[in-house]
Amino acid sequence: MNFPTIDFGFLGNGNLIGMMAVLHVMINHAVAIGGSVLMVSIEHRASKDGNPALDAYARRLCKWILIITTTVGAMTGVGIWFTTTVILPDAIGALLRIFHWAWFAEWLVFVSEVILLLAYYYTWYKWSGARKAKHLRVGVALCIMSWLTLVIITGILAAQINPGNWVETLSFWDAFLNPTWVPSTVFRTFAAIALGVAVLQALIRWTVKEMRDRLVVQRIFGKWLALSVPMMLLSGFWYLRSLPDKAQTLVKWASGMGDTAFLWLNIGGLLLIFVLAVLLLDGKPKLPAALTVFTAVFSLLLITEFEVVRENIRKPYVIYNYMYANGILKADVEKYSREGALRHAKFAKVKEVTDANKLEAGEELFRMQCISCHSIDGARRSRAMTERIKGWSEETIAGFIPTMHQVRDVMPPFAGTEKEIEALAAYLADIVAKENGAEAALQAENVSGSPSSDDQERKR
Amino acid sequence: MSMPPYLKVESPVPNDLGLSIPGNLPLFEVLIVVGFILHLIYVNIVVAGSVNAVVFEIRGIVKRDAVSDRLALRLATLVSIHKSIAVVLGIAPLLIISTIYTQFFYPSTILIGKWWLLLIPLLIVSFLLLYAYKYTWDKWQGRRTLHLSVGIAGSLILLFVPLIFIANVASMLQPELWNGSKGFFDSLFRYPTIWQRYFHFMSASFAIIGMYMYGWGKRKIRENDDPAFALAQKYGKGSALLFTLLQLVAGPYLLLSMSGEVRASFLGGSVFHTLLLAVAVALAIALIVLLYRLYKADSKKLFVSSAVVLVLIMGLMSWIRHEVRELYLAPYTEQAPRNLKD
Repeated sequence: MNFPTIDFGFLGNGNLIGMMAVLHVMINHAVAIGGSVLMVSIEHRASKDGNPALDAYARRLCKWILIITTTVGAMTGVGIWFTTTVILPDAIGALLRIFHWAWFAEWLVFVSEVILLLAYYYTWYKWSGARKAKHLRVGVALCIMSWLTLVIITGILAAQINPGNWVETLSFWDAFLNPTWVPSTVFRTFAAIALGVAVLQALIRWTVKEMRDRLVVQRIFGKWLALSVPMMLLSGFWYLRSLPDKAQTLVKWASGMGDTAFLWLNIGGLLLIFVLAVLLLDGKPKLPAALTVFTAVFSLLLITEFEVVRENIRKPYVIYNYMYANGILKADVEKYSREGALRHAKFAKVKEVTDANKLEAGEELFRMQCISCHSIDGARRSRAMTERIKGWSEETIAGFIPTMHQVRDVMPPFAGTEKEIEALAAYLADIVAKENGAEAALQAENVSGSPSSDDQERKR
Repeated sequence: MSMPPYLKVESPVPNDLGLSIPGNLPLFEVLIVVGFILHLIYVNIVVAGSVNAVVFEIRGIVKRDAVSDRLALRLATLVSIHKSIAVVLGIAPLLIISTIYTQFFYPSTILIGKWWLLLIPLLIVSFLLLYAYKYTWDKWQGRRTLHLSVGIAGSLILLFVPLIFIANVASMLQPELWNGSKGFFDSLFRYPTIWQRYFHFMSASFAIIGMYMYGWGKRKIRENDDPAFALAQKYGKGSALLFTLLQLVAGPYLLLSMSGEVRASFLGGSVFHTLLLAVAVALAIALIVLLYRLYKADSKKLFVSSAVVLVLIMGLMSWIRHEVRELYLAPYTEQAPRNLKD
């Protein structure tokens, strides 16, 4: 409400944040955390066995961890900030005011993580022989620092959905030490290790050629996996139990699956991964390729599912009980409904709805209150207005808007006057009809193979 | 054509957020000045270092000189390490500017929102290209044009990226120009200080990489008498001298582009601001004298004193930059005050 609005069109504003976040989490969990833990474990084993081939494998991993985390990893992390600042400025602004010092502490940890990673990589050969122990200690410190960034950020993410008493006290510690933090941290920690194993195991036939070494590596992977899978199951249930009641009921909906499907897919998938852990520990030289590929794909999907669910179950809020997903404060809704949302929007070009500016006012309102999740047309069909209100009349839309938060649990209430509702309805009916009409016309043309509209123009 | 009075007084700046700034403002200001200059030193090294790597590779090819080529590779390695630190060091100032200048920085960011987000893929591509540049150095000996193009593409992106940052921080200082803004390219010519800032920044980058290359060459040559390090020293001190001299043009040029009130404060209007600038200018002139003597004759003492003076100047510049921001924003924060903890 305080800031200019932006429209990423077909991509969808909400999708953009989501894609950036999922990409970042995949790299952070699989490579920075999981990868580092496995890399240091392998280096440790190589040093114990005096196996230079294994040591060289660990160093190759380090090179790739360095390349990936300092490019895509670090920049998508910054990217989450950038996308939220541009798309949801009120929300990230409020979060920064609440959690500034948590982020600052996380930054200090992040600086040490990068310096340790650089030190670890560039001292690999210098600190060998008698100094190997020192090198390994740097590696362990690196793992701890990568993990600590997860611990801190998870506190903030968990507070968004479960801020505890914060809404009353506005106290940092009330928000940060929320009941969802610990289970969510435990879940992410072991998910990170499982992801690391899943990705590295899928590549092992090309990265570790010598069969004897491969067995050693696979046993290390197997141990970590055998520990991680049960921990993920336990902490996953604990996490679900720690959520606010309404969010709990939204979980299955948010994953887009039915009750049984949700349960079987998640538990079944984890059990299959556990089978892989057992096979890895068993020392089978050749593992079924289908199982490794399945594990890699499933664990990436699992973490994506976790993020999508996390983003969805806190709805209609972005900060639970304080701010709605479109950046409007819960406390402000009544004021805007009485006095008008446009009047309070600094950057809106239209301040009051008239017959002449109705469509323009409606577009402003759409960009202010809907666009953080919805797009007019878009790749994500469930969020696209051309799909959601296809064929709805202006009156139907205007009738639905005041009740949408009662009909749909995840929708925030519309904050604006009757006139503003009418303007929004008029704009949506108009633009959706235009977009769908244009599409229908295009389809009709393609089907009948009739001359293009250019030709028709000329004929006329 | 008189405007109604209520329109005249309405500030273009939004009200601050309902939650207060979590801490003491002067503490934030010290952190942002120190944090920013640390970040900037690394950014200077990365931008100018990647350009110099390419320049020395070309020099190696043209002159058939293996020493230049080795120096280029060493520079490319140096850049890849420093860029990781540059990125993480950028986070603290960004965090603080977002927290204490929300009313200004968020609108200016959203107004160039699409290019602001493009920074992410641009930097990822640039960093990956520069890794490829470094790691394929020996492998692509037979494919020099390809190898060189990878380096050039990576550096060109790095030369472009500062413009996006500058457009944002220049725009946040002049909310009166926001109305009618049409995105990033429009911004480049909408706000009057952008190119002057870019020139000042670039010139600083090549002065600093020069200084860095000299010190680095001097230290490294003791353990490894590669003539590439001697070349780094020779080129470094020349570059430091030349570009510090250029700053005597770039600095005043930037000052002249600033708004009348801000400029006047630094030119006698305010004793504090004038003194701050005068000390910085005096130090810059001292640095030029030191660098000239260093250029004529190598000396560890001269190098150490130049480096100390340079760091002092950088610190002062970051502070002046903060004061410029405060001067620009003062009338706006009066109208729409920040939400401070009482």
